[in-house]
Amino acid sequence: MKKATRRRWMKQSAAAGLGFSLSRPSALPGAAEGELKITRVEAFGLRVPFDQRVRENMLDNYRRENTDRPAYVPWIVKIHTAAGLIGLGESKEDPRAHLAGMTGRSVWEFLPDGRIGPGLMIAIYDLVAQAGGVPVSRLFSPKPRPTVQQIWWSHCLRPDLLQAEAKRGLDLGYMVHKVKSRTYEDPVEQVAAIAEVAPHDYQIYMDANGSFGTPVKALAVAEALQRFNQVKGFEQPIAHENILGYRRIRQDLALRLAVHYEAVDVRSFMLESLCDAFVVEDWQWGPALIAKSELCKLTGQKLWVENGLFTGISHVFQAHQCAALPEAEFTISLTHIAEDDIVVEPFAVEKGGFYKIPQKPGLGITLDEAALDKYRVV
Amino acid sequence: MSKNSTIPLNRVILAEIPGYFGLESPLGSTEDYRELRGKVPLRMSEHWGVVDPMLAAREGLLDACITASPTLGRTIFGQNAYAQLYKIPLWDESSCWSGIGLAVQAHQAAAYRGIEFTVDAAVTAEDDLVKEPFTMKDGFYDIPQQPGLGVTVDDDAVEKYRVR
Repeated sequence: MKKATRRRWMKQSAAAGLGFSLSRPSALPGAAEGELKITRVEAFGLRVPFDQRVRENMLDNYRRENTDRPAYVPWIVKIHTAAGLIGLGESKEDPRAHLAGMTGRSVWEFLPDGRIGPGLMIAIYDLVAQAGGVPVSRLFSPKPRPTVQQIWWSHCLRPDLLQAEAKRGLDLGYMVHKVKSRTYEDPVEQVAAIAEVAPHDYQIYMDANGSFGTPVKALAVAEALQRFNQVKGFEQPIAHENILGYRRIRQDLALRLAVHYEAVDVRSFMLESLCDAFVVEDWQWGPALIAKSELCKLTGQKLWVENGLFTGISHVFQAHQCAALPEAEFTISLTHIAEDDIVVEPFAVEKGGFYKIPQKPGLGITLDEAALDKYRVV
Repeated sequence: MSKNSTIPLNRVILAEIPGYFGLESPLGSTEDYRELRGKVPLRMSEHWGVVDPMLAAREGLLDACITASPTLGRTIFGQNAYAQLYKIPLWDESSCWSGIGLAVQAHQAAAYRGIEFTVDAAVTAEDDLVKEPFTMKDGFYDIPQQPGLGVTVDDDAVEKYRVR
């Protein structure tokens, strides 16, 4: 193994294209001793049910949509090093194929190599930041924001349940709410239910996932929701490939509009300013997300990042990375819908949904081993 | 050819001379580039930011962007993303005045696919201040494979040209 030194630290950081900002090379306790050698890698397959309060409604919805999703099934990864540091990662896919051959190699070797998959990369970033004595957010910017704005999320729930969820989010501090819109629920009834409990400056974004069908229908829904000041925008009102439809909607819609970055012709949506924000859900971290942010900086568009979805590990990693990206307007996750987020520290937000980025070295969170054991299936 | 100043349109007969393939900074404003668009059979390049990058992409005003002054880290990362998305390549002359800068540019260009060319201005200086010659082979430079930049500062040259 090559000895990890300050020189290797800086060189390999730069090679990863991260724009490392570390200026205190003394903060390299593990690296200076060459102790970032990987000694063991573990993967745990979990099955985490939806939380009781929304479970029945969500299962009904997935059945209506012919989707087999009885629970969240994330994978947790632990990378152990000779220095005793443990990096935590989360993947939505089985990462075990990538684990072979990692033991005995240095963490540094994997830093520029996204091919090992997003779950393992989270753990690599965690280890590099722990070794450097800095929070993960500092890997991506010399001056990350102290907070990110996390938004509340609901599936297309019955109006009464949706109202209860909105109330719950408000009580926790959230002020922005993304709600799935589907043909089996009336969006006007849903929004009316939320509006009964939400303040004037609450923000609701309706995510149709294409279910409004046509521009005419999307504009009709917008008109029907016009009386609710809280409705601020639509996400993917029609199919992503219907660019003519988006041109029509953009011309006539008085609300903000978001589409999925990975599903549209980004060039057209940027050149023609066909949306206000891009939703990112491709689980591509590091340089791939930075590139999207830099492109949005040129156009004035925003990113809504929902790469970190199922446990507190990806959720908090997402917050770290987005703190370093000024164009990341919102972060979104599903952990509040799950029975447990598998992390000891609660994901507490301040008024408005602002989450303070942990300032401890690395991710700054602790895996809940009891929860890991409880939900482990593989 | 780079003039860095306005030239009259009747001078574009350069296009008829073999070997000329482009113009850098021939004009001074977005309006001028709009007027020139489609009239010149040469590639048109301008320094990043002189023409708004999104206008350049939207209206097809430029064929390449020059990235100058020390452009490293997040800045060049973003420009590279733009170059790749909009197919408007970068010509990197951000660090072209010494052998150290040339090595930086070369490493950068090797990593970023949006960079089409690197520009060598050190060739016009009496010395490039590094020991290794900047050797070109068929117009290409082999990226040093030693750790770091892979060049050695010529301390004698630094002493010779140092102004105290």
